[in-house]
Amino acid sequence: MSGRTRSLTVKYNMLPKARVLGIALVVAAVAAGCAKKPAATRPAPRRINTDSLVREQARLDSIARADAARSAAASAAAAAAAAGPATAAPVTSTERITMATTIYFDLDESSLGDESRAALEAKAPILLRHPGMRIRITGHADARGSDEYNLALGLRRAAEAKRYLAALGIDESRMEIVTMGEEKPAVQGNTEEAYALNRRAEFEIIS
Amino acid sequence: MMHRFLTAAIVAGVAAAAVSSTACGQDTTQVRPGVRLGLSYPRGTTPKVVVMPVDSTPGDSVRTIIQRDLDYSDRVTPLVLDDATLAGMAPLPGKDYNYSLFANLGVAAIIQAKKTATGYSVALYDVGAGRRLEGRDFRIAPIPASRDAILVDSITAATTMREKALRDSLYRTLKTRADIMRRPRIARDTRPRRFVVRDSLRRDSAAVAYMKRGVTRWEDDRRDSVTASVTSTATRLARQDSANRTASADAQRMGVHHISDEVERWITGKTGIAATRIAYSQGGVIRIVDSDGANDRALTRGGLAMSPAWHPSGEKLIYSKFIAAGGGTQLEEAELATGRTRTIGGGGLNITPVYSHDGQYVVYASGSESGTDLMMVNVQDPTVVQRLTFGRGSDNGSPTLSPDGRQIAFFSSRSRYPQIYTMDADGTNVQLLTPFTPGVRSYRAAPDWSPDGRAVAYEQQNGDFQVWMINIRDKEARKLTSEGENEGPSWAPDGRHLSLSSTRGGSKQIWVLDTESGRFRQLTRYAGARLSAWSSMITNP
Repeated sequence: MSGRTRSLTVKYNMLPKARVLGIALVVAAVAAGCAKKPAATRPAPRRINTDSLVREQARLDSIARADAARSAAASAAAAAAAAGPATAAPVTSTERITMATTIYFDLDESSLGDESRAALEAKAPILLRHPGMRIRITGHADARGSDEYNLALGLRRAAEAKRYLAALGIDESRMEIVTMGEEKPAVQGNTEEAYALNRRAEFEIIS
Repeated sequence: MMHRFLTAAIVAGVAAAAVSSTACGQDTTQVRPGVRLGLSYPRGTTPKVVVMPVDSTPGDSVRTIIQRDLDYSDRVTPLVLDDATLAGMAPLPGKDYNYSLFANLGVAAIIQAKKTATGYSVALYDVGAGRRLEGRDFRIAPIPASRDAILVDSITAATTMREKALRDSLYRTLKTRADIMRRPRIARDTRPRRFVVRDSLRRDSAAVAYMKRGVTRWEDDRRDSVTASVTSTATRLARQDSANRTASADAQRMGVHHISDEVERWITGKTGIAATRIAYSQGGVIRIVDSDGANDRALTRGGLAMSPAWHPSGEKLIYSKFIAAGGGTQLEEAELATGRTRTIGGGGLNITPVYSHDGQYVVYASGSESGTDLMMVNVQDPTVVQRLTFGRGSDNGSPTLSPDGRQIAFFSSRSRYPQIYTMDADGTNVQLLTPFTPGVRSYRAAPDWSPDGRAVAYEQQNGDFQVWMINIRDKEARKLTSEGENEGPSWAPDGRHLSLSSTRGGSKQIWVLDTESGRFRQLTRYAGARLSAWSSMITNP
């Protein structure tokens, strides 16, 4: 487990470099653009969209927070183990709400977006704080496409969420995954909005 | 086209060789001595036929069923004439048909069915040749008459007898008590006679009143319970009787479909597909409907079941069923006749089962955290599971076997979006069947291998979902649908018709498509019908 944590840390520590490089590239590209077209109407640097950088920073921050939470929980667990049989702290309603947060996916995708990762990172410390808590992750798909393929896709989405939580230090045996395919839509209707809300993974505390 | 024609053509005889081969629906080069003469009709047309009235009963359902079956075959055109016209065209007793009357209407053949003691005697008359071409007796068990009235009568009679005995016994008991009541209280009554008589009369009327009261109370008590008992027994027996009659009516319908299929073989050389059923999923329930849309009934109750597939015998179905409360899905097998079910294998994700052609194995998709892969399980010993695909985290499902059982087509998302692949039945030699451009989003799923082995039908997304078919040999793909969204094709045993789910009529329903003429007909009437599976020929209705 510590090996996995370390490699993860190493991986994420590398990311800021990539970010710097990315900015450099963008600036370079803009400079090149200006060189080619000196008559550009507005100074291009103002157009740099920093959303992704901000998001990336937020993600890294949340990972740092999760790391901190994890190590705190680990030391607390170690202390509790040293002190004697653990007394399980009751799960607060705030924690329940955080645990129940649904994550969403892009069309035909099982990869996690930034928001989904952030939601999972918020769940991880709670799972670490309550070692007895077990959860069920249910993957869903929207109504389009093969009903049968959508069952497999739903399972892949749930599995992806489980993998990410496991990477954050949650024991795999505490998480079970199932799929409902397109059989249990959260929202009825054949609109893009309804489809987007139905491509999801739901979380449930089972014990 | 020519290939089909050769097999479809009724083997020609010597006389047919005289007819111009271009104008005649048969290949005269295939003449063999001693074989029967086929029906002659223009090449590339659907011959017009007339089904004569079967008997004088109103409604004439046998004739209606045959006409409809021939119409749905898309190979024959039944000419529906009114009864008065047909009565005028019927042959006189002991005489042959006046064939020229039929020839003037462009009719190629006359179908005549007569009721016999054991079923129907059916004959086909060739209008062009002016003679009887084929004929055969078909055994069809009659539907037993309703026994409701008889049952109620006999139950009532039995109950009346029992009640009479009970009533007699009660009467004797009451009588004994009443006789005691009549006895004088004082042994030697010395009072004036008028008092003695008055008291005696009083005791007597009290005894009579006691008996009346006892009988009335008993009758009041019994009446309701006796009526309830008669009603419940009669209801139970009537339900049983009705179920028997329904089963027998279903079998009779299937028997008539067999007649249609045989008549079609006499006319075109190819057996029809009327004696088949289509299973589908609707509202979580597996339903079964006859090929003509009749007799639509639920096989499963409650829960959420999907993806039915037929056992080669047509007597069993296998499907996947959700286990309550996040328990995954498991495979379940159900017998049509008894409704008895059996679970095959354990929990987890187990979907899209199909039987092998011998019915001994089931190929299905099993999902886990490391993707969904195809498995093969022995039906008799479900602990023996063989893994067929190694998708490395991708989704592989909806298997369909080639008619020789040597290959399996399935969908796989191993190249990111689902595409149709084929492989050998042991899982080796995986090949892409549907070409796609890498990097361009395309989506193909729900394959079904045609019974003649030539093509695979599937659904493809180009904006909306439509049904396509691709030839195995030259990989030439053809789009079959365009109106509404069309998904989940399943081949009929003739390799020509497809059942599929379509929104062309508004709600999602199962429709039947003739891939040669493009004709559509709606099969189901419950909204949300999907995932249809066409049975093989039903031999034992």
